[in-house]
Amino acid sequence: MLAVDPEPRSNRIRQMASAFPEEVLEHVFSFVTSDKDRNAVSLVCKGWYRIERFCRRRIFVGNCYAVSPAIVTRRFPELRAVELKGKPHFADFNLVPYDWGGGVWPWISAMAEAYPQLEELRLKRMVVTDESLELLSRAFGNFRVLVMVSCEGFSTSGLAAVAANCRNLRVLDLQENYVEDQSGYWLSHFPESCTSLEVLNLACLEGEVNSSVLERLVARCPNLRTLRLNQAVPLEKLANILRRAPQLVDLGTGAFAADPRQELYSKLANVFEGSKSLKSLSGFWSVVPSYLPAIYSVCAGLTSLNLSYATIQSVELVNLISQCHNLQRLLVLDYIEDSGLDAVAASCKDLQELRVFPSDPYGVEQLVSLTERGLVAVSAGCTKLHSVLYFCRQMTNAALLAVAANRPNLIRFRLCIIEPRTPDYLTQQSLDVGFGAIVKSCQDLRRLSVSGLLTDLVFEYIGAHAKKLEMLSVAFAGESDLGLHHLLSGCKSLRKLEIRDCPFGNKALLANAAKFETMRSLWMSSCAVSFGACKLLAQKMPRLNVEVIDEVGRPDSLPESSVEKLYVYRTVAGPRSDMPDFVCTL
Amino acid sequence: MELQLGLAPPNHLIKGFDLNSPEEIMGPAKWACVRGLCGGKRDFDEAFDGPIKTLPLLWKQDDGGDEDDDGAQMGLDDAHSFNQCNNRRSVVGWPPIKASRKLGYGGGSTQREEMDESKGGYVKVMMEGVAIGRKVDLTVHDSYQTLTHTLNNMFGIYEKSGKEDGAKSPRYKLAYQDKEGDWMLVGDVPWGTFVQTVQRLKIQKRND
Repeated sequence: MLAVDPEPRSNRIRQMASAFPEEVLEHVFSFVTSDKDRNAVSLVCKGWYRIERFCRRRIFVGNCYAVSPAIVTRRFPELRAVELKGKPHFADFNLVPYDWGGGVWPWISAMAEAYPQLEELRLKRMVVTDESLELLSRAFGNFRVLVMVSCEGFSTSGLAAVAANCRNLRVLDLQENYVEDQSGYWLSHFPESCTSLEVLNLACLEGEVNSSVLERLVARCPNLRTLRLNQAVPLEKLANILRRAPQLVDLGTGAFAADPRQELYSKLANVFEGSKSLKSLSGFWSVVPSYLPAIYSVCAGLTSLNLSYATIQSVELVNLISQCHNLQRLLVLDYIEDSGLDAVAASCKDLQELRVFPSDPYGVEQLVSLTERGLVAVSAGCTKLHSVLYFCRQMTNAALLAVAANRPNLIRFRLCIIEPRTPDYLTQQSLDVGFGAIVKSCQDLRRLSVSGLLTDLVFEYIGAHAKKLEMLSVAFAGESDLGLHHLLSGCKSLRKLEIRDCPFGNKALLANAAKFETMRSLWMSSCAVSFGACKLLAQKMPRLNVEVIDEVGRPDSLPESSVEKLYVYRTVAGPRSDMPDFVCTL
Repeated sequence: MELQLGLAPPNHLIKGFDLNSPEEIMGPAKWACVRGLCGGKRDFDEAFDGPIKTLPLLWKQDDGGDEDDDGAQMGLDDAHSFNQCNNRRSVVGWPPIKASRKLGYGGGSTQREEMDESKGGYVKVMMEGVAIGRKVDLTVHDSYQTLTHTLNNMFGIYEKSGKEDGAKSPRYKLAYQDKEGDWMLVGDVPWGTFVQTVQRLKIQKRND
């Protein structure tokens, strides 16, 4: 006798879903914080979708053009925190024209109406005007957190408005923005009544800030835990400022240079001794080595150290770093050299993230002794190392194999061999096998940048093994469309792919058109993609924006002509309306 | 310093050349042209059979340069005239370093702040004998090398290699008009100064 289920599963789910009153569901949802999970919750059934959208408080929009402000405000009427990203990553290296887009104004003006209760705004690679900041400062009465990373378009006037009007401001975090400096006195716009600051990061400002204003501001904010000064703050002022904030956890110094003077040194050493909570140090522009010992007393407690602006020699760097036994994050210039990295490997056993930047990126010769050996040493000595950014001038497959074997726990591996197409200097072969070892061994790899001489083979390896890879950067590599095809057909988790100067063209692009709806974006510049193929792609995939960027002339409508820059991204908002004339969406 | 514009035929000029022997045309440098642009249909399989090479923007600096002027050579491998100093700023955006880091490398404010805000960094470029001018964005360039490289691509300029000027082909010279309205040869002043004063550019043929 057939047993028939009297209650189809979908009915049961509906019943379960409506078994709880809305308030209970809302309460349960409030524990669901990750965006992915929230999105999943909203897909269970219509009822949950409805409840979830009213109680969603924060959203993250990885591409501001993937959706429109209107769509967001309509669906989520009660947001308190919004995070937006604008330009593609290669904009950091001047590959995206200045006025390509990414303006925040439409978002702020829509949110000014929809979310008067907005508290937090985080922006990355967006164009922010002073008008936008002024509107922000007036529209949101309980605004608390403003984080801007790699943004541009605003001046200190905009910052003055934020300082003056956001009475409950807790976080003003400016990271690597282009800020037009009009007056150092914008800081005075923080009223005396402002005592709520917890994070103040001014490191990217180029102009002077009034030190006594800064000091008084710091003194009246007892919850200040992060203070990052800009290069213009002289070492003489640092002690006074720091003395006002002994509770600081994260300090960015200004210039770390002065004539060697005993009294200044003693003052500094004293005040650092009093900063018992310091865990993170950065700044160190123009370092005069004789002042470095003043900070030795905090070294043991440091978990993060950014010396990437410190142009001092390896020995001095090592003197400092070798005392930081609890260091988890280190940023440094290649002045550290292989010998310095040996010391890091020996002293910093908790190291998780290492970034080594080039001191002379445009020079032809190798002036510092930083090679693949330093990388291997750190990979061997630091067992918790999971994130690497390494600029160097030579590499071998053997070294990459060693890194792969030592550190299968790598999550981010970005290697930049400065001269494009550099082969293994011992064997003169390509570095396919080396990178292949990395992706085979590091099963959790989420981000990868490759460099050096690479054929299509490396992409075959990446496609076959890098199953968790989310972001890949490729430059001056590959031989044919097959390379790109391997990537697009193999990397299941790929979200962002950026390519420049590779012989990848139309076939791979069109054969994998559907892939792009599963990704956030694709950037291809100076490759072999034709205008006609871009048009075809756009026709095939209506939910993608296929942007052709051509500054040299108007985007050429000859199908054969080669596209200078291509940016493809999925969107529910259709073609954007704010494109300059050198961009066209097909 | 007289700036000689180097060689880089942009893709649309390649049609006239024999693509079957890229080495013959372009010297030892390891590149060829975009096959897809040079006529002839190719199917899906063919695309995956052989390499599709593209013309990269990077100049591979050849050590010796080929002094012998092989008639078929376009002298792309001679980067001498192109990289006059030990400086390798020949490609925009490489190595991938954020501008905020560059502050340490040449001092002073970022290039964007040096630009005239109203122009947004664009200056007009006219070439002798070409009716339609172009515009180039100076804010994305940080040296004469990258600028001439871009102009090469824009105008399809190439010339024969070799230091000895056999006077077989015209060289081009690049001139700019400064704020006072005077025309000067590009390259005489430091890049930063140039960027602040340039109003427009002109590419002229030059016969010695």
